[in-house]
Amino acid sequence: MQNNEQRPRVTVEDLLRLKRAERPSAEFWTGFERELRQKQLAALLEKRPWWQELPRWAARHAYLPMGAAAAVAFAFVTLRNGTVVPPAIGEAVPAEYPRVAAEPVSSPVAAEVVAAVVETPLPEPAAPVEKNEVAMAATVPGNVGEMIPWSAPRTVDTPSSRSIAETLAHLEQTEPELLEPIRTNRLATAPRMVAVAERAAVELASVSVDSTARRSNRLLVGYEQREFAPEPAAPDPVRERIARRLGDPDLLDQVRRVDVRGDRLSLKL
Amino acid sequence: MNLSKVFSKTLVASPERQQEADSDFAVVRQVQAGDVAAFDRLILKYRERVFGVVYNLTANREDAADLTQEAFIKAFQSINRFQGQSSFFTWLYKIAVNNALTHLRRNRLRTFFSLEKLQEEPTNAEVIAQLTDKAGADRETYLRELQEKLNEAMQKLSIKHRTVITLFEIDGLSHSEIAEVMDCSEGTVRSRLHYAKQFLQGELSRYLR
Repeated sequence: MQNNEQRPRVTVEDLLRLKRAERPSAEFWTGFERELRQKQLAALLEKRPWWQELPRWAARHAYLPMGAAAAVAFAFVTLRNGTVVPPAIGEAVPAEYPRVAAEPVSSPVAAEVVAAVVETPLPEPAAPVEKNEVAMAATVPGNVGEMIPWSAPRTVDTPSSRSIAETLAHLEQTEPELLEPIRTNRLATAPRMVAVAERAAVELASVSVDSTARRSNRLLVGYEQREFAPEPAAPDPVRERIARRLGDPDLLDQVRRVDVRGDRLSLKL
Repeated sequence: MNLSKVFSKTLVASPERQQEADSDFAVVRQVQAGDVAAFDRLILKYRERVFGVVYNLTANREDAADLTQEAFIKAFQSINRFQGQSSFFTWLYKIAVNNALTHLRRNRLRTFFSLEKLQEEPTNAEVIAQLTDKAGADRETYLRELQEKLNEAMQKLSIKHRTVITLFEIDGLSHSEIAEVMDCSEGTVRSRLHYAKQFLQGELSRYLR
């Protein structure tokens, strides 16, 4: 006991410093170095996981998604402010909206909507309106232009339309009787066509129906009585020119552009 | 790190440490310039110290070897980010300690001792002589038992307390350097150090005479 008291005191620090002597041998470091080399090479070849590469990739390519996001946001805002959402089914339709009496509606829900629209009182149209014909209300609200979709053609106040309007106004003042048929034509096309058709039906009814034999006899007589009067032949140089012109592809192309069907003449430009 | 911290560190650091940091930074510059072989000099210089820290944290020589190698590989991969705000060895220690702490947290329930042989050297001969007057095989057995008790006591400490006591008492880092490595204040370092010593005194009272 006395021997122990004479000894210098051993502290925790002294004991901990003993741990500094826990050192590996020289052979350990040889193996350590070899393993480290292998791991270094493996780390160089190893592909990093995506979550480690993400910040680097984002820093390098951030402008791409940001640009795309900006474009999407711009398109969204533009569409949101530019388009008009149609009123929902069952929602009350403002009275100043243009009315459309359209095709017969098969869907019951849509039919309800159309019925609700048609039931609202409208100002009288200028002319009688047939079924399945589109009739615009006489009073069109000022904001109708905004409700027309972008794809639809818009009425533009052109110089030609202005001159037509001036001419009509002048005619209305000076010669109103000339303007009346124009109005009638524009606004009552269908009744006129019905009248013409009725007239043709009366004429057809007055014609007696021939029997097949009598009809063939009449055709034979007509054939025998016909006169063969050949057209005068054109002189040779003219015929040559016509043939050349007919072979001309430009002329053919021009001819193909013209199309006549019934009472229509269409030109392809 | 802000300028005031760099300035205070420069004041605290001894001239030898400052000189060492400067020479390390020159080597780092070479590595950053593409001289990959220059990194080997840093490995040779610091491998034993880094291994010692990690070994005292894990008390397992195989784990310590793996974690030391990982620390050097991580340092090599991130060498371009090192701009000399701190000394290279502090930066390397930080990587090694964080790597070891991650490993310890993952394997909290698995503690397996694999200890290096305690070398008898002139530096520790006096302490050993004070602890025992045995000789031969008995002395070997005594030292082995002491080593195990020391490591057991260390492993009973929390990871943070163990790190502080390892860096301060075994590796000889200053409070400010430990604070930098562990991302905490010097006050916290002192507090943890005090607690850890108190705990170890209780655990190792048998050997304290």
